[in-house]
Amino acid sequence: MTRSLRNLPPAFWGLIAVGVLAAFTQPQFLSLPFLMILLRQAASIGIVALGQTFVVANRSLDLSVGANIAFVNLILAHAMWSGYHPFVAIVVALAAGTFIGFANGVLVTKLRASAVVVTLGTAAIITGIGFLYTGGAPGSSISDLVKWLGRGRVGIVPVAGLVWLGFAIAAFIIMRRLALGRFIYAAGDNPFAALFSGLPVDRTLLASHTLCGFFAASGGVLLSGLIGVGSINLGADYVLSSITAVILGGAVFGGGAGGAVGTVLGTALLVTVLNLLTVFGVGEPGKLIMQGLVIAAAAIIYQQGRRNG
Amino acid sequence: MIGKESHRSIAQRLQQDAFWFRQRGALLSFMILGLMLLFLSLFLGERFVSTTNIANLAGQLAPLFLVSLGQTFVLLGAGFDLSVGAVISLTTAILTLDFPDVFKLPLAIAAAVTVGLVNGVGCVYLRVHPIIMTLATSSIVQGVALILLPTPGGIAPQVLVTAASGTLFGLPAGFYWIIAAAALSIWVVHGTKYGVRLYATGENPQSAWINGINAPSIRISTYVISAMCAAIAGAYLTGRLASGDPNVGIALGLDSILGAALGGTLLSGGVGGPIGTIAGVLIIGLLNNGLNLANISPYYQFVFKGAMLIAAVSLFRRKEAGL
Repeated sequence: MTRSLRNLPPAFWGLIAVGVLAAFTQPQFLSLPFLMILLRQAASIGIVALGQTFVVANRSLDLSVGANIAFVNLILAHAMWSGYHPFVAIVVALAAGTFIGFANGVLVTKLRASAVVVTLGTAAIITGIGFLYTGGAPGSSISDLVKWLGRGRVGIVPVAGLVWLGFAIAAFIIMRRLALGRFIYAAGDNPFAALFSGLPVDRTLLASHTLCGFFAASGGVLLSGLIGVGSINLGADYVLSSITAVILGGAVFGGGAGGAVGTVLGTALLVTVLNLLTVFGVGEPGKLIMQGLVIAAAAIIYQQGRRNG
Repeated sequence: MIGKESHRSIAQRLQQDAFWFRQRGALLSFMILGLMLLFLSLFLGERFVSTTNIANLAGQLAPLFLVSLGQTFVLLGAGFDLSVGAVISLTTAILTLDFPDVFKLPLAIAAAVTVGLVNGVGCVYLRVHPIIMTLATSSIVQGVALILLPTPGGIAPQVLVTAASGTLFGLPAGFYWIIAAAALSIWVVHGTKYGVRLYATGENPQSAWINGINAPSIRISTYVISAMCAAIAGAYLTGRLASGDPNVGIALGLDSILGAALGGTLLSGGVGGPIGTIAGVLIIGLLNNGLNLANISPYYQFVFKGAMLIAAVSLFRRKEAGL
């Protein structure tokens, strides 16, 4: 019992603490309509963070998710889709994002270069290509289908929240029910042991980077729908946010911990804290400081627990 | 029987071999740099080889030199510092506060040393992964910088304006900052016991510890050096702009890693050094400068930079894939 309690991600306790704090200081914060607004806002970060979970659990990192989201937004907002069904634009955007992830995976596994440098490099390349493709202008409008995905509601529940749920279930199945998930955790915990045990370490890493690209692009579609217009530099802050959510969810570069549930809780905690700070009148700088403190605290607590356990 | 003399010569030869083994990346970077210089001077001619252009280049590149050299120390010690960009921003914010000039510079240096110590202690004693630790501090430090200086503005201390944008013997001030930083870091890494300990620590902290090197404090010191280099770069930028900008450091943070990596410093520690970093930073500078002079869209710079970064790191294959 104590062991299963200790295995809960830091985000779980954080959410309880924040919930209690909100209940006493800002009761209207916990009302259902407001929580649904939070859910809509959290969905895109949540999906990107789920993608980041695959690579982090695999002892890698993707710093190109921000550029990936921006690129997806540029594709969706480009005027060239005016004659086509909006579905085509979404498929092309998702394909492009998935390809970015695949390219990251190929470079990381074949070149054996550090994932940090490789993904920084691909992020720069994607940003450049995006600018060249649009001529530096944020595109035109975004199709109604994408807007519905980002902003629409089914009853009271936002569509984006349902999409997030779908992605979370998919991520959970991949990580905890499929062989691929076993491989990801094994290769993340000890790459050499995994290799000597005959696991396809390289293909696993390639798969997790590709999945991360696909998830980031999907988050980009939702975010584009929420924003509703083409925008240069969309999603730049998602690199930090997605990593924060993953760390809060308990996954820290291998070690077999964390997963889809942890990351969902981590995203929920992150978005709740940031919004609560807004309610308390804290500005952007204060949020940056808070986010940094939260990352450091979660990482330190997690690390100490691992050493003792 | 081997005499005392030949023992010494064997030791010397081993040391030389180790030096060239670690600098193998720098050699390649200098070859690329040479080719670029040849190419640029052939195709751009007088536009490239002019005193104004070179002076301009030195002034622009000085901050990147400073942070990249600092980053090189951290990378040699098998660490990683994403927080240098935020430290630069914080420094410009502190230096343009409404405060007597005498207190501002010590305050800025003290702030940077604190950030470096926090990074180092977090990574070494609390065992947080360097990427996570420095990502966290970078977020905090950037937040503090934005609180101190919400929008670009403020007035830089006159001393710094003179030191950063003046000329001496016909050469721009940035040139002297570069020479000083390069000479100092090459001396520290290749001419002192600290340098030997740094390489040993970066290659294998456990063996370094067993051989009597205080590896934890060496690793912490690299973060402090990197933060101080970032603070000096921030001071230079404040002087050059003659005012403050809380977002000035963001791009430089990533470019510092690019400069070190292009110079053949491995992110896994113990290989590379400041000599290579000098070539790496010059390659970035010449690339930007050449593309500007040739009137090529600045958007291509992103693509070229990214492609070069990937090409540079792909030249040194490691055993493991991932981080």
